[in-house]
Amino acid sequence: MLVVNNIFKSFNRLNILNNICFTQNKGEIIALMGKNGTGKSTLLRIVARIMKADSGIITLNGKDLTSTDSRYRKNMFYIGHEPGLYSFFTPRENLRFLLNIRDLRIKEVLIEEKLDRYGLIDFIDKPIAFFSKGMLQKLKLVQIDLINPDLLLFDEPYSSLDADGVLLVDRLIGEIKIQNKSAILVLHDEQKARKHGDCILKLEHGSISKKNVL
Amino acid sequence: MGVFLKKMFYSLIKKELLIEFRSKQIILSMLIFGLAIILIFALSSNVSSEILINYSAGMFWLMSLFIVVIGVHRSFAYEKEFDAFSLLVSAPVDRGLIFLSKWVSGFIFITTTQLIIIIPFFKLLLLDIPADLYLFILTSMLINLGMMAIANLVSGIVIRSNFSEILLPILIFPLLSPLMIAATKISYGIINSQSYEIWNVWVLIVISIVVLFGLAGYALFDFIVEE
Repeated sequence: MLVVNNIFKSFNRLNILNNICFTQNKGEIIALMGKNGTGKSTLLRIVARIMKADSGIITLNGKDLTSTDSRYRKNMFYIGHEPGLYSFFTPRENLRFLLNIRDLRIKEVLIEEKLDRYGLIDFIDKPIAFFSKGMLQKLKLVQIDLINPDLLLFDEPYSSLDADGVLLVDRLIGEIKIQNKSAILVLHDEQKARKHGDCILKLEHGSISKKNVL
Repeated sequence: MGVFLKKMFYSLIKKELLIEFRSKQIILSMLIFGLAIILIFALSSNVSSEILINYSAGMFWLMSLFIVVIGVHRSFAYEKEFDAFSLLVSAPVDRGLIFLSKWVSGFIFITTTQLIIIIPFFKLLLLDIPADLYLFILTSMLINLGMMAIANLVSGIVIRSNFSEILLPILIFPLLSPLMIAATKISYGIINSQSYEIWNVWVLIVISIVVLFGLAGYALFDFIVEE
């Protein structure tokens, strides 16, 4: 269970997050919504401990995520607007590095299988520097599929994707649900939020409002 | 160091070296910039070799100081390109190991560059190569460790800033000053074949800086890389 308690964050004396509190049960998918600049990405980065909150506590299964113990982040995976990969590496090398630093032993054939699933197998040994936005977005999906985290923090999963890509995201989120894993998805499309989210958290003027999806 | 930490450290180092092997941007840019500085020194210093020899150690470390800034900036620029650094720090990775991998790889890059540049440096300045070249290289390697510890620590602090390319030299130059003074004294002693007793205190200062900033970098990197 993820517990976010009393999170405050400000930039240049402008309050972005103002006493944010929510809990997420295991297997729950939260759709995080709000206008641009309301702090959705900031909140996600704070949970992933990329950014430091001014104050507040975040725990995952009772373990303090704001502590320096990196092991607590083992079952969590953050993916932001960018793919978080190295441009000089190929998808194969990037994925291998990603798995190595997470101490995940996954066979090469599975990496190839996943890349094939997302239509990137032909580019497996090409540096990602020349990939289009859509291809990079699909590479994010491959990362998630390979790591298969207990808690996924995904910022705008549908951005830059074509119709096929949208279906792939839908399928991936569906699989997360089936496996009873949790996710926080930053979404702009209310329809998608209702489709995938067990609840919708709306950020507005630094505060959060919760709406359960029926 | 546990097996997992060793494996993680190996993965991080391998990543740094493989990126450089692919791009060749760090060593190449340091080499070109270093050679350009040597040429400027050689063409602008219209003095006798007796005077020049007194300045050669300072010139060598001034050149090294400039190329370190370029190298470290490039090394962290890779991390910013696709926001790879965010993924790295949010992963279950001991952030101190990220510092160590940057430190070790940076040391390899600067030492390689210096090894290539050292002969042109003395030849273009029309100076004799130090009689004890091995000692010169060995002490330079120790100084490189100190330079890279400080440079990577500062880079970790400024990486999230939009003005990192400006902040980096502004913060690094004053912090590296004590090390550069010690480096110049050591190299001057070796170039002029002075006995070890004359400059050994500077070696101790360099060792202290290496230990101090190495430990500080490992311990503090966890906090300084957070936005």
